[in-house]
Amino acid sequence: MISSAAVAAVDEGAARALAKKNDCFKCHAVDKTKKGPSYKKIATKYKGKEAEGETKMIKNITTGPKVKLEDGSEEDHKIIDTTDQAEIKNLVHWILSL
Amino acid sequence: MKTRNEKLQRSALSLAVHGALAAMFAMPLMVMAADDEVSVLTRPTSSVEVGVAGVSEKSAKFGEYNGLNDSGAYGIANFNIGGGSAYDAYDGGNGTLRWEMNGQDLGTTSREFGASVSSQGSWDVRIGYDELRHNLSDTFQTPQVGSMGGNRFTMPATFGTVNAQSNPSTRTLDANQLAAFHTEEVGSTRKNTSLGAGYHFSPQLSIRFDYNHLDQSGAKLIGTGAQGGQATPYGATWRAESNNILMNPTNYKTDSFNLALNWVGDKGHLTAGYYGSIFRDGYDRVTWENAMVSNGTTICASGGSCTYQTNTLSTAPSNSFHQLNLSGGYAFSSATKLVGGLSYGQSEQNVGYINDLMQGGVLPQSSLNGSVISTHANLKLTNRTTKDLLLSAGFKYNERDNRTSSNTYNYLAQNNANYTGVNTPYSNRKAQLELAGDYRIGKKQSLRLAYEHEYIKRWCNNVVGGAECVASPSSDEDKLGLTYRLKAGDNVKLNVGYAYAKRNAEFNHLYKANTGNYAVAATINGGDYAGYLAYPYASRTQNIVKAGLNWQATDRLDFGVSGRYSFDEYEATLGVQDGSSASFNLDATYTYSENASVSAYVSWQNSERDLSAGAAGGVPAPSVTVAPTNIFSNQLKQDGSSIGLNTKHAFLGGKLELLGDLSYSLDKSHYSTQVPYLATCGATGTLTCGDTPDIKAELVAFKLTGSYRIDKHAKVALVYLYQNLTSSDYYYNGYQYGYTPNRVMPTNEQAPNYEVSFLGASYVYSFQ
Amino acid sequence: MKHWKKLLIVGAAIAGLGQFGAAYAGNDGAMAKAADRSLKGDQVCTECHDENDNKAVLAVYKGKHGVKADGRTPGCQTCHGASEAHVKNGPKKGEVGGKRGAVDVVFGAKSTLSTREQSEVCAGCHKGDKRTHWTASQHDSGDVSCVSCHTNHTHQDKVLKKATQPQVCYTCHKEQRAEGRKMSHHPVAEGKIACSDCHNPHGSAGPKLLKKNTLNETCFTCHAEKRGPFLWEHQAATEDCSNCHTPHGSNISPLLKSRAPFLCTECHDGPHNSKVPVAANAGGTQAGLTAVPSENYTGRGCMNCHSVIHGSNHPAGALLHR
Repeated sequence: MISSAAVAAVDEGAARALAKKNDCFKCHAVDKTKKGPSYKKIATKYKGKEAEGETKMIKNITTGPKVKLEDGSEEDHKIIDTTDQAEIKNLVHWILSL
Repeated sequence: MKTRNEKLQRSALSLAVHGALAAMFAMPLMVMAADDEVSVLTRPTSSVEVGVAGVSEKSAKFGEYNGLNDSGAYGIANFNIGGGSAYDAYDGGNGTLRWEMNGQDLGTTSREFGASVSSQGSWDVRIGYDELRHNLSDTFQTPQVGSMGGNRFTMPATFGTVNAQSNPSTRTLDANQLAAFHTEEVGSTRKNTSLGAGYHFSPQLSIRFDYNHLDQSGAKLIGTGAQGGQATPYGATWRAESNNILMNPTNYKTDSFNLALNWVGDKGHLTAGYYGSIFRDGYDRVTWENAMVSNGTTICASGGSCTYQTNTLSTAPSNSFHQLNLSGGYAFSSATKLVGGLSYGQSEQNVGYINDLMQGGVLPQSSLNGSVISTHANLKLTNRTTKDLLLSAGFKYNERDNRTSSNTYNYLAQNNANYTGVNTPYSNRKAQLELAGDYRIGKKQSLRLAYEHEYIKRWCNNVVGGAECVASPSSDEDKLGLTYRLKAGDNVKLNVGYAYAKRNAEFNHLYKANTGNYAVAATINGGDYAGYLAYPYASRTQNIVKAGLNWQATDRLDFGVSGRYSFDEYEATLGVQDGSSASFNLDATYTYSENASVSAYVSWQNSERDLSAGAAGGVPAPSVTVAPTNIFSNQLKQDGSSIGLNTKHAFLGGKLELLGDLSYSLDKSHYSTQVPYLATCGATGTLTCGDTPDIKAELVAFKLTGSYRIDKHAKVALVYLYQNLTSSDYYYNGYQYGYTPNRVMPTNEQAPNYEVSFLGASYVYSFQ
Repeated sequence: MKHWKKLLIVGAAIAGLGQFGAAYAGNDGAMAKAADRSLKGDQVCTECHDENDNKAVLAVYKGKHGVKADGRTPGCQTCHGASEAHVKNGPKKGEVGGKRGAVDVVFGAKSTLSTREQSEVCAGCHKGDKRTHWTASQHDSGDVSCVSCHTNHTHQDKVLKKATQPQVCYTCHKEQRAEGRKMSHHPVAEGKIACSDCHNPHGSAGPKLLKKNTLNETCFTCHAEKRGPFLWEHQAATEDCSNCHTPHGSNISPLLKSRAPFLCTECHDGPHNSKVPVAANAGGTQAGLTAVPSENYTGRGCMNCHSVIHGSNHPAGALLHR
């Protein structure tokens, strides 16, 4: 079910801090729909498919492709300001755990 | 130059308990549950801080303004609480009520307290109380008997008189006399109580009232000369202790009122107001006894009784000032605006004269009945001609019209000789015209050119006998300034400015200060008998250069550099010749993470003033100017530099925050005199040429503040402050014990030196 | 009289130029007020810029600007503009890349608007009273905008509080920061006086942005005992306190530019000791002198006797002894 990588303990504080610093919360709230889907909605979408979810999310936040917003318009996804893979993985795993 | 460092650090001189409070507000907020996160942002956080602090050493200078002048323990108590329906706005509330109460440093003589309540857009009321004890000296000693803050001082009954030996270097105070000296802690306390209220009749019309009551007590030190100071058994040239330094009482009450009616319209606005200030001095004089021989022949033996001579010094007279003000503006269009204002004020003073020392006890009138009318007018027109050009023309007028009458006063001067004095009530008027243009060159550059003309006139409305009362009846000054600003790239801001001013002063070469028949004819008070000009009234050219650079090197690193140089040259054969000042500042800040930064600064200042004077000039008939002889020169040189380093860092995920502040400053001033006409000027018998010792002050300060967040509401803070002041100043030499070879009663005033450690611990509770 | 004529001529010339002024529209207060200032209008922005935003945007509701029940207060778009390009998604017309459009009015160093244009947004509501003389004042001409000093999205604006205000001023006025550390200083660092107790940074009728019409009048608001008028006046003091004093800080107490007897010698060349050269003999006997050091030079110098230096009201005080 859940891959062994996701089982590693998630540091919620660090994940939230990184998200806040990079303005993620401007579009994604934890449980409310804003311009982007809520994190809970994303977690539900990838329930049982965590590996796929992790790959897709890492692609969005590191390469910044065009994404479709909740109101139908399109915008380039913001690129996260860090290259630390552990940090990024921690963030993604936290989102998936919601 | 502006640095982009928003995380400003406290100066090391600030009250350490302030540091604890500042630490609390600087604390990063912990991540909390969603509801809390919103309310933390939209509702005020109240806090209460209690704690205890200790100071290691007693020092009036360390505690000059912060109330920590005694060693020992102090209580720390600060609070800031507030609330009201106005804060419900984000939750959809419709309230406008806001209330707040705060108190700071309640455990010291620097305490303050305030409270306010308001209904935004409608009314507001606030009250405040602020106390400040200015600690002046804790080493001052005097034999005079009388309390600090009082106005009567007497010599102890068995003091006797000071041993009036013929050779001043052999005069001493004997053991009995020395025992009469006692230490007084000299300080002046100010207590300010204020009340303010405002009311909006409508969004356009509002009224505002402010009242302040200032109550002062305590004293400041002042020099006094004794009456008849020359007489001793050894003839007129030998003097005993004719100077006594007294604790001059500051028994003052000042009430000030400000009432203003404001109207704001779409295009215009107008404010009409009244300002009043009523000053009352609880005493009109200070009296003291002088341990002088009273009649030229009698010396009172130390240990025996003596009839002392009582002297009087006047204190600041009670006075009042009432002023009506009108100011407003009108926008003809979004590009053209006119603003202006008028003020009319009257100062009055009518305290009954002290009638001693008048010849035959005769006073020309019983009080001054003094009246000064001050008028002010200003007008400024600005026009944004194009998007890039702003032109402005302004005019200002100020007049001090002294309507006080002039009379003849026949009095006994300090040497007990008869003199005639005529008072000269001074008036002056200043008119200024300024024309300026600000031009923006593209998005990155701008240029400002300003021309200013200033005209000053001085006179007396009436002087008995009709003599000229001022040395410089008028002067004209033209000033031209140019400033250039450049934004080079995204990260560099540069500004450069230059100003040139030329003042032409009219100087009355035959002017002689009207001090009645005080019979020293020639070189009196700026009279040009010897080619001497008092510098505020001399013709002058002024050059000022300023420059600044701000460089945001990276997102985290910021530099600022600025400098200023000015040079004034006076057209005067004698008097101040020129003066210059230079300053340089460098600031750098490195923010290495969200809540951590390091910043450093360096400041350097230098100024010099060059003066020439003639020690001798003839005593000519009024129409002749006599070339001066014995010309000497004097320079004042001042240097100051300070460096500082401060750092801020958070540990343990933000729970522990440390602020460190280290600063060093050194200030030196000294005078140099050259006396080319006297070969022996440097001999120990004269010492009238050469350098004075430095007036030096060196201050090292280190402050460490740590705060640890226990939970969402509570925090403990610890503050450690170390301050070391080393200063030396020749000023104090003449007031020391040991011998009294000059004419001043010793006071044991000392150059401030201290090494103080302060440690405070407090608990801060915050809530919403 | 001649000065009035000059002003009229210049004023007429500028008013004439004003005909061309219409070319620059500026930020019209009326247009700004049309924005929806209600909480619902704000939600267009606070939907994304909520409590999780990097900047404490919601803190505006803690301050006076956020009180919706007061009809004068703005909404987000009143000050920041309708910002359609930012609110509606996607890049602005002609903008390369898919970034969200910029807000109409950004305040601060990174703004594309000039400092004057930023200040005009605030001036739409904040006019008159203390800000009467703002246009073309020293700060306005010095590239300083309202937000250079003020913070809006906060409970306590630093410059509105005595204890924290000086540091904001010191970001540019470094000389005054250094002077405030000297031996003799006003209690600014101790938090008892703020810069705004003497100065009005928004522009003033007085010199050097002083609150009152003249320098002396400003000093008398706290030091009323020096106001007089006195029977015997000291002309240098009556005209300008800064002939002798320097208010921000000095190595020579009390806030003096120089000290007696040297200070007095800058204006007085006689009688008595003011024309006599003085050097180390001002240091008294301890300077190594063997002859009688004179109280004319040591310690307070001239002011050992001429102590009532700001003016005397004693009929026998013509020489400022009494």
